[in-house]
Amino acid sequence: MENNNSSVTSTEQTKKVKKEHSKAFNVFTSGILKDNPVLVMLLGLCPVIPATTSIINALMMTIAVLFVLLFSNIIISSIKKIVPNEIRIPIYIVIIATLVTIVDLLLKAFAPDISESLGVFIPLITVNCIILGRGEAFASKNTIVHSILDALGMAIGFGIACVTIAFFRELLGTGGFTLVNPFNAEQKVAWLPLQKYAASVMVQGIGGFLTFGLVIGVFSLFLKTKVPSKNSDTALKNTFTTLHDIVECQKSERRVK
Amino acid sequence: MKKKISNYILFPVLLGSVCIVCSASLAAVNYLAAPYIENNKTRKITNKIGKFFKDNKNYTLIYDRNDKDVVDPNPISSTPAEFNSQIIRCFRVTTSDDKLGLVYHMETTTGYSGNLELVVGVFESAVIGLAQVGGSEDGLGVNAINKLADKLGWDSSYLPGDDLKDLAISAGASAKLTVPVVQAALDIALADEKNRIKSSEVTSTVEVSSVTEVGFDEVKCVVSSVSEANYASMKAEVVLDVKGMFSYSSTSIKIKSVTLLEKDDTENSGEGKKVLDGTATDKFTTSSVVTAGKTVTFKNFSGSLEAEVKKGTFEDCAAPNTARGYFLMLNGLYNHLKANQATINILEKTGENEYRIKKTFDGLGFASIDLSATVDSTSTYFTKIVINGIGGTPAYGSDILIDGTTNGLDSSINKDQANKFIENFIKISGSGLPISKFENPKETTDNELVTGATQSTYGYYTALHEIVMFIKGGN
Repeated sequence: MENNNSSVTSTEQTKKVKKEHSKAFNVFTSGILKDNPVLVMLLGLCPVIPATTSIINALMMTIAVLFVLLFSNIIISSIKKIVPNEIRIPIYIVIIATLVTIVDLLLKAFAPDISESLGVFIPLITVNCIILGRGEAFASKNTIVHSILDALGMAIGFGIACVTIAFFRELLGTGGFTLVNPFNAEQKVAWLPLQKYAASVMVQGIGGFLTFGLVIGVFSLFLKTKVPSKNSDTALKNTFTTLHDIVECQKSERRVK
Repeated sequence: MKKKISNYILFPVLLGSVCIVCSASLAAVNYLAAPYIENNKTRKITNKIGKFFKDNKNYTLIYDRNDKDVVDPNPISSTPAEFNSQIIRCFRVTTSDDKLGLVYHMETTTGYSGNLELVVGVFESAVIGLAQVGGSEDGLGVNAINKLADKLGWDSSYLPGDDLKDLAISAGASAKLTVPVVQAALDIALADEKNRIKSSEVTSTVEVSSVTEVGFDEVKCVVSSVSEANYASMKAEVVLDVKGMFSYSSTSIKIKSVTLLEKDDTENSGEGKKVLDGTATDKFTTSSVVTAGKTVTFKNFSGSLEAEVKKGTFEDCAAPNTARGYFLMLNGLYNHLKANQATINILEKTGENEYRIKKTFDGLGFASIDLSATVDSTSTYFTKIVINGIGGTPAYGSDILIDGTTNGLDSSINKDQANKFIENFIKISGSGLPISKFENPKETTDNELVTGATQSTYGYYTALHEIVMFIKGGN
């Protein structure tokens, strides 16, 4: 009997661990694919256009977002029990602003050229919807480990989107690629085989939006065909749900009147 | 029973705690990052210096509003003007042709929404470079300044009174408020440069009261210098070693001694005394102050004080005003001798039958000669002729006159003529070289002197001719 009991317990534990692993995996990968913050949820678009003029800028912006997102998720998740609901947003914002300022100072100190290139978009991470959104929607309700995985997944998803857009924009806009040592801008390697055919419009705002739209389209197609999932149209579903709610609300108001 | 804390207390305490922790974290990071950020900013400014003055030899930070320890190690003027409060830093730039430029790191007053930090390059009362390196002004204003910066350069500099209105209108509404504050900053930079450079133009009065040739190898001068600036005034007896030299501008003339006859009371002690004694260890004292047993090249004092300042001659001197006074005195003597007694001409009887002549010729550098001649007891023959020195660099002249050969002469030169000259006027054989051969004056066009080293042979002949005339005059 005892043996049977222990084997049942062990199986349950294994199932529990497997379930836990599966959940962790889902948390991590959803940010990369199904709930990609940029390409699916369309969050944090403000820095995407200016930061994707070159691959190095996109990478540095990704690192900055990763740093802020990771630490804000960890901190928010660890203090979730002591933060009253009423003042959670100001507290989150203070924490995020502090982290962003730290990133800004570190970039100014150790990668000044990148800091100058990204300009005001580093301080603007403070109001990036991804950061506050993940803090409020995920980290404040989940464990630290899951929050870390969520931050990593979201940052990687953000990075994939930015680097992909930057890849096409830099290639078409400058005719190749220029890799700069972020800590010493004088050290750079340029490969510009198509420089003669460079379309500078691609590194301007209009080229950014154009590439962004095309990448979203291709990514959406990819998700539909390769990743069939009930969550694959999260953004669209969210939008419809919201509209539905509004319509319902309006109807109920009319009834009250 | 558990007591619930009131939200009126809990919320501020929580928010305050979070703010304190965040502030502390930021302070720590800022403490670590600040020196690096400052270095980066300085590097950014110095990069601009390289951009504005592409051929700069060197640059020095001479003023930092936030660092009182920064002092000009080599002040342009002894009474420098105060820096405007908008100037954060100032760099002195020396161009490859030893001209002076200034680069200012400065801030503007508030334009549209904030101020601007600018780097302004000024050269010869014109702004030749502008760059924005910081500030909180809005984008349109910054764009306008970037446009102006692109336009400025060596060929299109900004001068006082230039109109920037067109730029302000084309750059957008907010730039209408930005451009005037930038223009005001440029005018401040120009005014500062003008004051600073003008105050560096120091005049001094140098009086050379006597120049006495002591034999053939020394010249003794008495010189006094009174400066209008705070530089030391002094009077000294200067002895020059002119052995084998024919011109005061020669690089080989040395100052043998400087004996101070008069000096300011303040120079009797402290760093000034050390400079004048030659015991100070700075660059100027060790290289240019004459002390017992140490000679200094006279030509070291040929440049202007301003040029020496730019070269950094007085950079590490603890008593720069004393050093400059000393320099001005010897510089005045150099200029006086060069202008009034550019050449040295002496003829003396140096022994029983010995004569020595040092002679120079206007426009004929190679003809200069210093020779000693010995005649026989009847003054009929030269029995010995010794060349002590000839003008110019050793060439055909030294071959002919000193070595008595034509081996080194170029094949295109008529060696026969040169050999004839050696035979007739140099070679001493038997009873000697008849002085009668030198009785008649000759010109450089005379056939006997056209040797391929005509100036040298002309100088030699004329020197001996003058000795002959000197002897015939009863000496």
